[in-house]
Amino acid sequence: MRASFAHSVPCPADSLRRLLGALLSPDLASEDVAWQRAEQLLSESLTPQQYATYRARGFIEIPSPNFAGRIYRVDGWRPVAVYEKRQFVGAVCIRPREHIPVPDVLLARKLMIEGAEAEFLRSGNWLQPAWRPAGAAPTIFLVLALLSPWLLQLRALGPWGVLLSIILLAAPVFFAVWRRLLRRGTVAQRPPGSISVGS
Amino acid sequence: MGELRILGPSGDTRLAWNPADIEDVASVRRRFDEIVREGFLVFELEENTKEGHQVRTFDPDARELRAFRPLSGG
Repeated sequence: MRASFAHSVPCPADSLRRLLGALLSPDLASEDVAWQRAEQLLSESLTPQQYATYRARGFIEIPSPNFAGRIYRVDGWRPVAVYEKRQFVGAVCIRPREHIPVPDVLLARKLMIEGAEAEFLRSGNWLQPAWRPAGAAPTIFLVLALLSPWLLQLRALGPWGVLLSIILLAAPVFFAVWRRLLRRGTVAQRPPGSISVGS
Repeated sequence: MGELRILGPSGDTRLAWNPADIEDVASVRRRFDEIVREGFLVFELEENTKEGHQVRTFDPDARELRAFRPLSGG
């Protein structure tokens, strides 16, 4: 699938590319026609400011009609990014069941957010920020690997040294568990139905 | 004049009607009911802000309607 941003930025060689495309690959040419129709429809379905933003940056931002401070950043090919008070909190992966041109995907997502946000959140899969799943475990192992030779030297101090080294070695694990519990508490405090956590 | 644009794989299909023309309205209403039965979501665009509001019944006085199959988790 091609990025809509590539189509949204005017290209001087566009006509030549289309001509070559029509000659070499009729399938791609018909897809291109569909894309142009979708672009035209999108331009008619957005405000001039929104369409200018889409042309310049490849996405538009839609404020949530139901949750104050939440903004959805919508394009046609990536998951819809969700920001709360300008902080990225995750993304909603939601796609059409049949193939439609990418500008049409953007339009459909925008309309669902504005007119059927609950269904949008219920239907999409919620994605955590990418750094979270890989965040804690590798860092803890790295810290343990780096500190363990030094901590093992504490044995020389006798039983209290061994106890201290065990406590210091276990500290990152306790910290990770504490953070996890804290995060669960935050998620539990979200308003019901605010974000559906999908698979 | 009102228009219903139905999103599809090869771009959208456009249906236009004149609210004063009874046959026009009846024909578009039939198509509207058909796609709603098939599960399509239909949204009416607000004229100035272009904000979408979901509609489930056909209003001949609507100006801009967009319809598409429901999206699902990717």
